[in-house]
Amino acid sequence: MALHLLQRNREGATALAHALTQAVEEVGHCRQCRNLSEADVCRLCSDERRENSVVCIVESPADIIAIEQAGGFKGRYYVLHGHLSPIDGIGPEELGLDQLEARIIQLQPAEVILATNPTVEGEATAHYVTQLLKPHVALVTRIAHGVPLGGELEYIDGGTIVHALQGRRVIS
Amino acid sequence: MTRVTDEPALVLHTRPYKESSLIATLLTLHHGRVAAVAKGVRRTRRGHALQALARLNTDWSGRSSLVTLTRFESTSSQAWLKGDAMAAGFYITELINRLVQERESVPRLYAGACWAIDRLDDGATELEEVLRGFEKLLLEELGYGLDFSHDAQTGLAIDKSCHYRLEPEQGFIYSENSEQKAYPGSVLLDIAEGNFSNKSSRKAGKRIFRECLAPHLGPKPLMSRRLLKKNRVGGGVRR
Repeated sequence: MALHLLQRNREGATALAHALTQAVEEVGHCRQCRNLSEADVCRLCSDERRENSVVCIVESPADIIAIEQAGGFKGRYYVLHGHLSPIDGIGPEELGLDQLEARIIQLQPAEVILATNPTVEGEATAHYVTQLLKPHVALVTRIAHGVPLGGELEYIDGGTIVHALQGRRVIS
Repeated sequence: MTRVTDEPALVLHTRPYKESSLIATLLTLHHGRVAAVAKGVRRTRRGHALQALARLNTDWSGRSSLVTLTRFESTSSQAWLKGDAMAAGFYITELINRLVQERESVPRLYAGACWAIDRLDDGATELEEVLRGFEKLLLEELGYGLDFSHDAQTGLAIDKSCHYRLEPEQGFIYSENSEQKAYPGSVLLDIAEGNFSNKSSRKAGKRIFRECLAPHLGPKPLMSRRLLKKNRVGGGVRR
């Protein structure tokens, strides 16, 4: 990309450099949900139409974009910016879980949805956050894991099938 | 170019690399700890098999400290540990990652780590019993194992009715009185046999192994130990 810009599109390179400098200088973290935001409080947190009764906890700002694009969720978010990973030196303090606890106490939601990734570290984080928030929230839920829509069982890995069977739903 | 095929491996850790790749730290049966890049796997379904604690059969190639993973297949179902067991699993992978040198062949440790993770996963064995057994094996495999059956000064067999104190870099030495830091001979003999089924050998083992591991771990604390402690304070769920 660097060679292409330098050889064929120097104007584009200047615009890109300017945009990146501006982003680094002006984009910070939302005071409430820690999503990336230019303002002190992000667009999602300041939207009064969103429900305070449900808070969805995600690992990264990219997860918020994915959920928002999918639609169907109108509650609040909280971004952890990572997951528990002892080998990387990331424990509860490094993830800022005390700040999450304070936010939940302030919002007093009826439900907290744990939408960390279904990886070993994501599961560990979800478990830890559950223990932390249990005294403050009546309902802590975990997003479902299983067969993707339009998927075929015969092509799905064993681990996902086991999870899908464990997390089955009653339909009648 | 080194090419390795059909190598059993335990995944210690993975981290994202570039847009769609992963770098996995593996403990392999014959080649010790290896860092391997798995290109493009984050966008594919087969990438899900590359998870911490997963058991794989792998092919890789390369000569540098970062090899290229060319094939991997799960050989057993993924361990999804919870609560204390999860923190204990992290403790095992963190210890291996910190203490085992790259490409240092430790086949007994590989087998021991797999055994420990299976025990944590089935939940049938007391968690502390699993961890003490693993720590004992780890120290032995790293060449820091202690002799729990002989007095380091006299060479005499440990007497189960006497007490012994631990002298750093030497071993256990007969202690006249049963001072606070002395260990009963009966407990040391249990540890020598790898018997951590009773509380006293688990408690003594914890103190002894912690003391033995400390100089090799250096000043940086183990994050998983903090997690294990916090889980308990926070009322973590025991499987």
